[in-house]
Amino acid sequence: MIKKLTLSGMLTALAVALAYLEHLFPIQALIPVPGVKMGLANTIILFAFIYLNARAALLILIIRCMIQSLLFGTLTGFLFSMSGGLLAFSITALLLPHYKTRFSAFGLCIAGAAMHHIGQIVAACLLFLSSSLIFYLPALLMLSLLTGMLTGYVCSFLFPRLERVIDLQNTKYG
Amino acid sequence: MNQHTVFKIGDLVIIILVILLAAGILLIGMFRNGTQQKQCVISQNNQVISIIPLQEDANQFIEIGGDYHNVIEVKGTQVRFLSSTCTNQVCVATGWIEYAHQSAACLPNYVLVEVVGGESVHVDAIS
Repeated sequence: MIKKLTLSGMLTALAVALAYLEHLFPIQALIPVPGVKMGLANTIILFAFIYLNARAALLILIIRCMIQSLLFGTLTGFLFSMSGGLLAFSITALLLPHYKTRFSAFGLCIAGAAMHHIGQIVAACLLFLSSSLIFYLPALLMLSLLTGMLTGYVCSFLFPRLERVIDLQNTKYG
Repeated sequence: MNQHTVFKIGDLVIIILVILLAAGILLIGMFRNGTQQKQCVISQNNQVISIIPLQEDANQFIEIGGDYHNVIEVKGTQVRFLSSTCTNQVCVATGWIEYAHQSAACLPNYVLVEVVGGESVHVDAIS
């Protein structure tokens, strides 16, 4: 129980650090579409989902969003990343039972990135009371293929290393 | 590469779904912009009084009461305040409006005429 709590805290810190890293090197400078981001923190959520459980992943997601917006974000940014994050969370929860049988980390990351952008746009539409913002979505969705591939690739490096550090085989985190 | 990134058939399904969704929204957007009709919205006290399509054969006069008396003329794809009994006559001086987001207003009578849909005015931020 304590180990699980510690691991959750560590993963939250890692997620915040990755979000800060993205904040330092904004991908928007390269691709000028509002709302685009790498979504590196998503890899941590996915890891928590696979190696801990859904509840831990959800808590890490919510706390990460809160800390991120307190440290270097805005209130609207918080609303966007919350709605996007929750949608991405639900699609991951839906697909995870078929992980490694029907979907790889690529599929999970792409689905998560796409749903994140959908959630963002829906929140923006509600906030600004305008449905025309939805026409940003095609560009964002195509970019989410790219960023999803990238984060999926990052997962392929990250997961084996984290597994080794955390030594999941000899510890019970249930 | 390891067990986490062996490409599975489900990944392909997700990618195709995302592309289809993007294409679908794009198509809806093109369809909607192509058929969106130009209209003028006339409102008084923030309440819409009438919406009139601005078509080639439109020819109509709308009279509005209230504190003052306005006559609005819709002719073809344009609309203007033809006359007003108000004191400042700003609304009449505005003249014809015909592009999206243009508006004419008679503030003494709380009347606003706006053009929605159709092309925007072809002027950039500098000019």
